[in-house]
Amino acid sequence: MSNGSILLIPILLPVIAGIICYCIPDGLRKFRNVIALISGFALFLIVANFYKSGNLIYVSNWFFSTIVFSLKEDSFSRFILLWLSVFSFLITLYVSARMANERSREFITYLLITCGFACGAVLANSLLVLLFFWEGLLITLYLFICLGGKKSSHRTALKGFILVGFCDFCFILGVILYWRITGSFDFPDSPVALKGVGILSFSLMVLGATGKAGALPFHTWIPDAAIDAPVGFMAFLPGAFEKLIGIYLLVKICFNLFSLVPGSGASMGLMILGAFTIVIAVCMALIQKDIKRLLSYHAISQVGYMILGIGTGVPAGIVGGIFHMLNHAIYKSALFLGAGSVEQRTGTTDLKSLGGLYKEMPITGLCFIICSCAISGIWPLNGYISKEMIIDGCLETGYKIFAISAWLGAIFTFASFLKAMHSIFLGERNVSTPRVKEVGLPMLLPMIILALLCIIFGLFSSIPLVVISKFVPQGHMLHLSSHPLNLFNTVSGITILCLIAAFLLHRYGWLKNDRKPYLASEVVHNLPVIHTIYNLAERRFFDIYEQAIKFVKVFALALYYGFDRSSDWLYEKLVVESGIKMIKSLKSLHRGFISEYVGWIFIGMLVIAIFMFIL
Amino acid sequence: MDILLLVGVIVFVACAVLLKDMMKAAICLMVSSIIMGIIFFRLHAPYAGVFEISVIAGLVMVLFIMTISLIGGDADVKEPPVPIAVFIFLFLVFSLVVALKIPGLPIDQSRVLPIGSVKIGEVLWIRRTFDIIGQVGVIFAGVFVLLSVVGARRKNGK
Amino acid sequence: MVNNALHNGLAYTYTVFAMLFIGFYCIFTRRSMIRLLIGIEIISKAICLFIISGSYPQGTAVAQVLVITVIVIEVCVMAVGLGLVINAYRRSKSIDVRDFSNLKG
Repeated sequence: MSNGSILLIPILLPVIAGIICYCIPDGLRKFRNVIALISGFALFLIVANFYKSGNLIYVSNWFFSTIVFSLKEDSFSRFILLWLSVFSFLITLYVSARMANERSREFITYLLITCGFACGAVLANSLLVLLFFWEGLLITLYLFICLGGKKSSHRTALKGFILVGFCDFCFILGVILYWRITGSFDFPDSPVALKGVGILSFSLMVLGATGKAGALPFHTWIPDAAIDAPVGFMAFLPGAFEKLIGIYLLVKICFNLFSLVPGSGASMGLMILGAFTIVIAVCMALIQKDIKRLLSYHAISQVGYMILGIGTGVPAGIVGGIFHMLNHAIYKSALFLGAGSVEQRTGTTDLKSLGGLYKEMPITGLCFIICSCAISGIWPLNGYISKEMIIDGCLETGYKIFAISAWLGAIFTFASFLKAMHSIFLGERNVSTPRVKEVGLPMLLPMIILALLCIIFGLFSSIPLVVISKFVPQGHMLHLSSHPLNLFNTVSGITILCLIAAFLLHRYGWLKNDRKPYLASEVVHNLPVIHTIYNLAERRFFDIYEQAIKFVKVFALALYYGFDRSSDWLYEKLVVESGIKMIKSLKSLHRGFISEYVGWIFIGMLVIAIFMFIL
Repeated sequence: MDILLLVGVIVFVACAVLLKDMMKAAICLMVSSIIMGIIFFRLHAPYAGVFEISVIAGLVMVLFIMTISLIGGDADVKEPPVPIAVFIFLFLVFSLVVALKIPGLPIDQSRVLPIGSVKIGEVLWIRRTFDIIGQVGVIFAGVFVLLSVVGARRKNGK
Repeated sequence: MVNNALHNGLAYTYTVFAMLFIGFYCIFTRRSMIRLLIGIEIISKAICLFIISGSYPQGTAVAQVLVITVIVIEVCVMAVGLGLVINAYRRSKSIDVRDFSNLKG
């Protein structure tokens, strides 16, 4: 199929498989899982095939209208597609074993449909096509969260829908402005310079892309979804997919649609956004007592790293940002899957009641610990490599404040993951949870694969780095051999100091609080000013969605009393009452005496006569 | 002569209004009708005069007298003391206005036609057919009302 | 008698208006229903006089036809009115109009 219609398969195959899975009843659950797994694997094979066949383009008319539907895959899209298929396969594997009693039929359907739509978004060659698939992801987001089954699931689903929907709305506005600049919806051959209306369009589009990926300030639905949604969803969307396609779109905006010059205002804006996200999210993550909420806040914080990296505009930073995106998807999914395994066996995710599970769930614990180290940036795992590259990129721009914020994030990340590891797997065996067994093989296999990927990408990091630097502008100018595994420069020295500081912080907090590991971060929590800020944040004071809801309530009340009730009063009270009074007064004129009536007639006739004959 | 007749009409009409006894008032009205009929004859309107005398001085007066005798002890109590002076005053004012503003009845000698140039039968039946239909309708209405009113009497009383 | 111009057309006008005023006075100030009907009668007579005297000296057929129409209608009005008076008298033993104000307002 040389005309490129093979490009339709990554979109149609998962969607059709999803619809088929929806129609298979629960009795044939194993059959359904097999179909999902086969479709995931087939997708992987097809996408791997793209690497052989080079750049393909597919153009057609969209449903017999004049709008052009064009798909294109180039090196970046191939890369993302590959990882999309890998993750969907692994999570399908995990979910097929786990959700035996829950609504797995809908879950697998939504998962496959989301995969299809995400592939469509990545393959799109025109902004309209991209928008179509982008918005389709919103629906499955809402449906996914509703599957959680908790009492507040619908509320959180609505919150997620509105927040991400608002980001998508900003993105649509940005696309329209972009159309005003360039006159067409296709991706241009050379990027547009960033000035005038372009800046507004750029910022709106960036808001849309990063909001979908989960950065500030549209992040508040992710921690709520961590509780209210099934854990497979958490591993799937906020963990892997959203980062992959969100950062893909961000890179496309910065380098294909517009040209982001390092050191310009837009670049500074992106870096500031990234820095804020890192620091604020990781501070929130530090004090969480529930493992899923902790992981979700870290997901938000790591997106900050990616945005920081891409915002620098220098090749080192960009490659670091993209590599960080990949690494984050790997280890965050593994962490969420691990937390899900713990939850399934012990029935709880509260750090207070877990402890010392290493002996009973050794493999899960080992994968969890490897991925925690990876996310904290410990040499020689993949997180270290990507973080180093990002910090190098920041230092190249000349502003040291961003590097400092990245190091601060590293401290708190490692501290919170020490807390997590210590509370769940290491330490004393908590007697409040019953004895558990290790989880089954289908659930273990994805975690093992992902942990192995962490190690491989850490030690042999040149493999992915070479691939990534092919599609980054001026990436070939990077000296890749100097970065990985190089411990002897200032940057890595400071990083190691940060890690040691985090370790000491954790140990201090642990000893101070009765040797209870889950209270290790109370030291930070109870600092004077920070304490009140934390309390306010936990009470959703800074959550723009909640504040907007309150405002909408007040606004609606004001409208109700101001307009609705008052116009009702006007019509039902004012007009009616005054009408009745007027009629009563007129009624009292009629006294029933015929002579008076004749008098009225006479006077009337006189008046008419006067008007007619005299005036 | 004409002035006398006119004055006579007014006098008898005033008596009909001012007399306390109903019978006498009705008879005064009848007399004024007859005088009116004479005026019509003098004004070259014989048919109108005939109608006036026969119908009003005859039929309506009979109705009146029948009603008055049915009512018997007439209840005409306590007229409010509205001064007639007010009305006379208003009438004088009105006459002044009329005298000043409205010219007299147009008696145009140049348009005198011989009497009876147009046949009254033709006008009555052909040109004014719509009026005839109206009159027939009104007569029917009157008959129905009377039947219902009188019939109720037959049902209730003797 | 045929060709005498009438003394003054204005006298007829005054008569008509005087009768009108007397008729209105009667309707205004009399409380007995029969008197009201007399008042209506007087007014109709005034109108007839007005029409006929307005058509002098032709003695036009149109005027007479109009007067005939008015007289016919007036007869019916009188008949119906007197019938109603009799009925009202039977119901409440009174022909005072002020007693019949149930339907006011």
